[in-house]
Amino acid sequence: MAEKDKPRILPGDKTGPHIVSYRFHFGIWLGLIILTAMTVLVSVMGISLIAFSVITALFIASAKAWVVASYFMHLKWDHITYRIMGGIVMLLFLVFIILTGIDYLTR
Amino acid sequence: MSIAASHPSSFYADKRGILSWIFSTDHKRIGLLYFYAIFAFFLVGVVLGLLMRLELIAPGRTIMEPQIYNQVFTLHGVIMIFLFIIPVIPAIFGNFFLPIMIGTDDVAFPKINLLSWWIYVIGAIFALLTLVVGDGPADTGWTFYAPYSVKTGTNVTLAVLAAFILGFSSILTGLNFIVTIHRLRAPEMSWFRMPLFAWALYATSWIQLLATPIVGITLLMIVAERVFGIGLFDPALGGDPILYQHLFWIYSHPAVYIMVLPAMGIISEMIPTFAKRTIFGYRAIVWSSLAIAFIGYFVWGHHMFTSGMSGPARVVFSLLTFLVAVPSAIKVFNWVATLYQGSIDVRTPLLYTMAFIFQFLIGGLTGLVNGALATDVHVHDTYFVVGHFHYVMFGGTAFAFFGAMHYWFPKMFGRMYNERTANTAFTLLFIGFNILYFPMLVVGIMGMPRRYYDYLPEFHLPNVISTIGSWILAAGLILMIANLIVARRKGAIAGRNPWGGVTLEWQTPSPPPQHNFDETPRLSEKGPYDFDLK
Ligand code: HEM
Ligand SMILES: [Cu+2]
Repeated sequence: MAEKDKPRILPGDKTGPHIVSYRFHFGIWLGLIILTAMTVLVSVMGISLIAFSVITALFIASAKAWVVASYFMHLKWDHITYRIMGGIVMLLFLVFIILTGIDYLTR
Repeated sequence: MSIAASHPSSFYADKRGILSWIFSTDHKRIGLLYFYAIFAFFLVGVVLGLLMRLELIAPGRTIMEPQIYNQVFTLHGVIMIFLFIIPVIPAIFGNFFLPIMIGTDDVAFPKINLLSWWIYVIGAIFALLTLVVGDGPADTGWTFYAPYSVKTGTNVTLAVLAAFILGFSSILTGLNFIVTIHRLRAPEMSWFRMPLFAWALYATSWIQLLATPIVGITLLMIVAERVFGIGLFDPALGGDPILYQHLFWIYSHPAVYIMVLPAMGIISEMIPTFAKRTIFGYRAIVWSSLAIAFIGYFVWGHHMFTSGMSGPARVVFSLLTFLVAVPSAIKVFNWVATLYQGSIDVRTPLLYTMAFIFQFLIGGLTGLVNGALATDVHVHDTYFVVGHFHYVMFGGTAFAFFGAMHYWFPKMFGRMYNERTANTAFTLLFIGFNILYFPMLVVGIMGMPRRYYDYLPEFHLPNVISTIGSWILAAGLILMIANLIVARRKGAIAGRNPWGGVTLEWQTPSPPPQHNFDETPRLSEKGPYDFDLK
């Protein structure tokens, strides 16, 4: 294998083996199911404050995304750079919502 | 398939036959596959454009019915945007040259790379299917605005699915390039020794990766509304049409930077080569690419000033739009400063570069007119906008693409074209382009609306001039293509480095060998544009 073909590990990489047990993954999955059930509940229970149910749904969805990214996609064990990248994406998403919100809330 | 001047170790010689191409995972072959596919669609789009111009040569009906005209401009727009201008530079030259320029032997995921080409082909087939089934191609414009796109009987569903599928191709290319740049750079190739084309692709890839899914979902929502009657955008079903515009432009404004950033990267490669000096303000250009990619996410509302969006939102979006002009201007200053006191060698690619700067400048400055809330209210949906975006996309990106074709042709095919003919073709293209589009800016200010097959008699003269320009442009295109086809078969052998370039692709044979280099390329400590390295 030529020098340049070797996988390069960034300094500070914790990408060594980080095998996580089935039991742990199963737990995460169960958590996701519960969160999904909550999303459904919030929408069908017809909570009168519609804005709140939207906000709650968004919060739950964000929490789920965070769990999937950290555990299933292994960001939690990855180099900090990748976590920062993930953070920037979340920030971007927040800005989309804020800018669209400026339109809807001042119309 | 290979009639290029191929020496025994060239990647053309490696394997033969059509299957060795359409199932190849070699980034160079995939780049060429994209090249032929994308160029073919470009020509289809051009023919549709010429037909529209012919219809508009005189008021009233000339060659087609209004409904056909609506379908033609939609198909023209869809082809030019999704099949041509978005993939053109990353998928062709990015694939072919990125790995070579950063000193590696392929992209990070070669099979995914091949997959992205196949997805492109499938998406293209969907777009073409709209021609032959049902009530014909969509008539909504390439923007598919709701609620009309929900109600029209034309093939919106298929067209939207085509755009959805093509989006995946774009995402996979972006993903591949990001990982390639992070992981596969040659050992001495630090971030700030990367050529500016690689940086431009890096910034572009992030947009492809993060913005494309948004339009994907939005287009699926149109399908859901059409097919299942779910009320998302159509007010009659309880939906909100302005929400569609928000979602559409959250992608499609960043997408204009997918279209133009790679072109800027190419310009930043060609200028040092033909000025024979290092680029002025390397880091400024790098940071401006990243800044454009980032700020570009926050300005989408400038497409919606007359949509009924709230007043404060319009002010905020207008303000943010002016911010994004700054990094673009930084690049233009740096290019001009590089030319200053260079020993300029006026070859064909440099001519395209100069045309790019001139036309992009007009496109950019007219963009400020559109970005300013007070003026846009007057020019929105007029021919001024059509003139503006053709100056940016065609005068900018497509001219950079033509320039790159002439710049890298000897590297890709190992042969040289006739420069005198190439320059004649360039002259026709340049003159034709400006005669075609400048009158659109004028007639737009006069108040001629876009997307109609007819116009008031007082707009006649500029429209005639514009149509004549389209013929000159077509002549230039034909000459350019003929010249390159001849060169590919009969051109003089080009050698490694016909222009005296210093980035890594010039250190390998033309065409490159299967694994890109025959000897370890040399890198300068002083960055990628060190013309003292010899
Ligand atoms: C020979 C070259 C071309 C000609 C003659 C041409 C002409 C036209 C005309 C007449 C329209 C209709 C404007 C309207 O009524 O609103 C149009 C629209 C458009 N053109 Fe071109 N064009 C050409 C090349 C290009 C290129 C290279 C691109 C992109 C890179 C492009 C992108 C578009 C887009 C996106 C639209 C808007 C379609 C829509 O309204 O949905 N065109 N063009
Ligand atoms: Cu925009």
